[in-house]
Amino acid sequence: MPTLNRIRLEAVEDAGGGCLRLVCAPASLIAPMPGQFYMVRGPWEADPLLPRPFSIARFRSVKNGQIQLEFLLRIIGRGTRLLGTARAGSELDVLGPLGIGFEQPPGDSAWMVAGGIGIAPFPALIDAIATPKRKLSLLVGARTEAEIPGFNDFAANLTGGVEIATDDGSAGFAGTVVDLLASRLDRASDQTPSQVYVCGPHAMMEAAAAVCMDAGIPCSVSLEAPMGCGMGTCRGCVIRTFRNTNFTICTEGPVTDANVIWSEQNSQ
Amino acid sequence: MTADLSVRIGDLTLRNPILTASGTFGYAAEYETMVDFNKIGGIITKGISPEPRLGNPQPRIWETESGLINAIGLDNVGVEDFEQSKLDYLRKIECAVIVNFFAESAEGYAKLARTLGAMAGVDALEANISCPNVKAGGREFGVDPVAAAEVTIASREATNCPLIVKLSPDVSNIGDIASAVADAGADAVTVANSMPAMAIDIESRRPRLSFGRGGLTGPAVRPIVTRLVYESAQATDIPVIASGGASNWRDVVEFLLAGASAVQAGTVNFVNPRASVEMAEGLETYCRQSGINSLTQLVGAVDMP
Ligand SMILES: Cc1cc2nc3c(=O)[nH]c(=O)nc-3n(C[C@H](O)[C@H](O)[C@H](O)COP(=O)(O)OP(=O)(O)OC[C@H]3O[C@@H](n4cnc5c(N)ncnc54)[C@H](O)[C@@H]3O)c2cc1C
Ligand SMILES: Cc1cc2nc3c(=O)[nH]c(=O)nc-3n(C[C@H](O)[C@H](O)[C@H](O)COP(=O)(O)O)c2cc1C
Ligand code: FES
Repeated sequence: MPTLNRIRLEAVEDAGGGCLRLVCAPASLIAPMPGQFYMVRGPWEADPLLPRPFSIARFRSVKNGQIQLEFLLRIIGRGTRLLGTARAGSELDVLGPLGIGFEQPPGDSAWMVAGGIGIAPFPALIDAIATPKRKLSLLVGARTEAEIPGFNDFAANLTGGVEIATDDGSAGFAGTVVDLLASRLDRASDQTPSQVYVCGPHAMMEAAAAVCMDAGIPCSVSLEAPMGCGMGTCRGCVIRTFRNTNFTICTEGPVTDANVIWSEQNSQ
Repeated sequence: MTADLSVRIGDLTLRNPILTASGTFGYAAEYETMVDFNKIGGIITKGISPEPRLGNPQPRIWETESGLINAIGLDNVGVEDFEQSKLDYLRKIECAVIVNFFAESAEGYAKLARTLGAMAGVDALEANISCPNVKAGGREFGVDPVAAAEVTIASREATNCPLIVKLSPDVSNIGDIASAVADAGADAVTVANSMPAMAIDIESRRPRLSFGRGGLTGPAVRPIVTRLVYESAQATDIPVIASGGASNWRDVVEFLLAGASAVQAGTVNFVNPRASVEMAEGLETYCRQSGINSLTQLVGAVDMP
C-alpha cells in the first residue's frame, strides 16, 4: 500500500551521461520492490502541477527499519528541470511505492537492456537478483557516448559483462541497443539468458520485445506513459494491448511480461 | 464550539461540503490508506455508462501551466461491473456515495438512473450532461437548455434518489441552463465539468492528445469557475456544487462566497491525495476562528459592487 511522505534529500550527485542521482535521507517508509515507482514532486505551488513518476533506482534498509531511497533522473522538461535544482536538504513529496515490480529470473542468467535513462530501475533489480552463481549482463544504449548514464557503482555484480551501444558509434557497438541485443543473442546462442528485462522509450521496448519473442526468451518490460495519479484513478496512463483490452500501467505495471502487451504473431 | 458544516442536497445530508470529483478519485477504495472518509462529505465515482468503455488511445493527458488537459474518453467499468465489483466497498465507507453517470440519449439516462438509484449504498446520482447526444448528431446535452432539461426530466422520473446535474462550462449563459435543470427537477447542479481546451506540439504540429481536444482542469480554471458558480447561484435556488480548480480551504471559502453550497476536489487529488481531508479540516478551523457557526453565513455572501 502506498503512502505519501515528505522526505529530505541527503545528496544530489552527478550520475554521468547528463543524469542526476537524488539520494534521500533515511525515512520511515514501506520497503519497495525493484521496478516499482514513486510519484515525486517538490514542495512548490501549483506549477508544475502534477507529480512526476520515477522508478526506484536503489534502496537500502538502514537502522530502525528506515528506508533510504535513490532516484536517477534525466532532465527532460519543466518538472525534471525544477527537480534538478534540488540540493542536499531540499524536501520532496513522494507517493509510493506504486505499481508492480520485477520478478526473479527463472534461471541463472539474465540480461538487462536499457535505453538511456531506462537504466534507472536496474541497480535495485541487480541488488535483488544477484547471487554468486547468476550471470547478469547489462546492455545500455544512447544516442552518443556522452549520454550513457554511469554504471560503475553497481557494476560489481554484472558478472556477465556490460556492453554499450551508441547510435553514432562514438562508443561500443554502433547502432541501437536493440540491434546490440539481437547481435548478442546470435553470438550467444549456446548461453541464451533465462530472462531479458527491458526499460527505455516505448518504441525501443516494443522492438526489444519482438527480438526476445523471436528467440523464445521471456522478456519483461517497464512501461511508461504520462501519469496523473499513479493510483489507477485518473486513467491517464492506460494503453491498449494487442487483445484490444486496457492495461493500466500504474497499477498493472509498470513492469509486465511483453507478451501481455504485444502479440508474438506481430513479432514474426 | 464546532461549526455546523452540514449541507443538504435533496434528502441527503452531507457532514461537510467537501466532495471528491468524478474521475479523480476512482471508486474510493484506491485511496483507503490515505483518506479518512469520515472527514469528508462524500465521494463521487468515475462516470458510469450502460456498457464498459475502453476510452481513448495514448496520449490521454497533458499538463499545461497550473492545469491539466485530459481526453480520457470516459474509460469506465460499466454499470454491471460497478455493481458487482465496486459497490460492496462503497457501502462500507462512512461518507455519502454519489455515482456519476452518463448515456447517449435521454432514455439511456433514465434507464441508468433507475438502475443506479435502486442500488443500496448509492446515496445520490450526478448526471454528467457534458457528453454527446447521439440523436442530436453528437451535440452536447449540456450546451442546450432544452436538451439539458429533457435529460433531467427523464432521470428525475426514473428515480427518487437525490439527483445532481453536472453542467458544461462551455455555454454563453450558464444561468439559463442551471434554471432549466432546476425547473426540470434536479436537486442540485455541479458547476462545472472540464473546460474544452487544446495544446499543440509545435515540432510535430500535432495535438498533444490523441483525441485532438480535451478538457482543462486544475487551478488554471478556478477564476472562470468562480464566475460560473456565481452566475448559477444567482439564477437558481437549488444548491450549486463548485467543481474546478479548488486546491485548499481558501479556495473552498471563495467558492462558498460566490454561492456554492458544496465544493469538489478534483485534479488536486493527483497532486496531494489527502487534499480533500485537508480542505475539510481547514474549513472547519476557519469557521471556528471566524465565529461562523453555520455555512449559510458564507454561502453567496460575496459583497458585490
Ligand atoms: C513508471 C515510470 C518510471 C519512470 N522512471 C524514471 C526514472 O527513473 N528516471 C527518469 O529520469 N525518468 C523516469 N520516467 C520518466 C519521467 O517521468 C519523465 O521524464 C518526466 O515525467 C518528465 O517530466 P518533465 O516535466 O521534465 O517533462 P515535460 O516533457 O515537460 O513533461 C510534460 C508532461 O509529460 C509527462 N512526460 C514526459 N515524458 C514522459 C515520460 N518519458 N514518461 C512519462 N511521462 C512523461 C510529464 O510527466 C508531464 O506530465 C519514468 C516514467 C514512468 C512512467
Ligand atoms: C482525469 C479526469 C477524469 C475525469 N472524469 C470525469 C468523469 O468521468 N465524469 C465527469 O463528470 N467528470 C469528470 N472529470 C471532471 C472532474 O470531475 C471535475 O469536474 C473537473 O476536473 C474540474 O475540477 P478540478 O479542477 O478540481 O479537477 C474528470 C476530470 C479529470 C481531470
Ligand atoms: S496514472 Fe492515473 S491511472 Fe495510471
